[in-house]
Amino acid sequence: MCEFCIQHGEGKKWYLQAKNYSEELFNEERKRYIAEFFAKIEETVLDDIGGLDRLITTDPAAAEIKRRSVMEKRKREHYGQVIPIEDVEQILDMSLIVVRMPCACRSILKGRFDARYCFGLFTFQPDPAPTLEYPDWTRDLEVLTMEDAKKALQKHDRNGLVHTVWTLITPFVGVLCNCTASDCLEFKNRLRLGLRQFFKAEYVASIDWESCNGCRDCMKLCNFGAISYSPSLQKCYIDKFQCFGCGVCRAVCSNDAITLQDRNAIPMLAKDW
Amino acid sequence: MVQIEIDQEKCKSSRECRKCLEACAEGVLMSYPRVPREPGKRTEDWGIRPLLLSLCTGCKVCEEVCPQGAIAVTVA
Repeated sequence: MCEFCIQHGEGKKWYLQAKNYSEELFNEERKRYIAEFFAKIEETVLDDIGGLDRLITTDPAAAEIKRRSVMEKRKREHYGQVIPIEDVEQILDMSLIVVRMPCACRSILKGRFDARYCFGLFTFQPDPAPTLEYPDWTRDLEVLTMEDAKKALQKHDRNGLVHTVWTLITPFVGVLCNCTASDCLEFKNRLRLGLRQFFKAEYVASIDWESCNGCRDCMKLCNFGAISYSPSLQKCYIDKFQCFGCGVCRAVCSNDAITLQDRNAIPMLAKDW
Repeated sequence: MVQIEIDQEKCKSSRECRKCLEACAEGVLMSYPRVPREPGKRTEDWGIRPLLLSLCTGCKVCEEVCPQGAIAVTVA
């Protein structure tokens, strides 16, 4: 299991523990952090990611030190993990309020506030209701019914968006995002800059060769380049080291040939986060 | 090495235009508030600047799509 499961999950999935969503954790320190986070997100991104980017081309050794320091800071403040749709649904079942809001990554990289792929979660009725003083981020907030939230997330799943949960000062889980390699800064950080700000899922995908008809629909959805096709065998392979365990490939498989396995049960993957 | 220079006078608003942001496949550029955010106010003044220059291929598509001629890419 990932280190958050050990530290914050008592050996179970940390993001399914009610205590990591509790009102007790939603204290003044976190409220200040959240306000600051949204006020200064572009400045933070320029310092952390822009700073790393400059070092990558000018000083690789310093870039490695920067990667570690940003990762450690993010583990304390705002770290994530990929989760499959069934775990998303379990989180929604634990939640009382789900708010759909603009995605900060798509604001920064695509210049849009109307890309509302992110969901704020509360398992309690905050009293008083939190006021975020920055209307850039609150202009289109929507409080969703649980049924609508589930439908929206299932639709994202079918479209190949990768579900991720994020802490707002670890271990408080505050946000559920739906990410892609093209639009999301966190994915660029991890896949292109070597900066880890989220864990792979507790799972890894596996293809049943008896059922695979070689249609390659799953390949189109994989954000991680983990699926390849063998023309000689007319089957798809999943490279389990490349797989992040998001499980979105399952939704398009007409033969239900893909399942998720427990990453922790596969010796060489159990420490690969 | 690639350099991207933005003429902030010529770039009117990265929010209303977005052409360079959408054209860049690598996601090199970022949209950012040119003045720090203030409580209670929407950001009106949005600029463009390179964020992930290490991913830039030097293809100059951003320069080509910019209707204001505000972007200059130089490859040394």
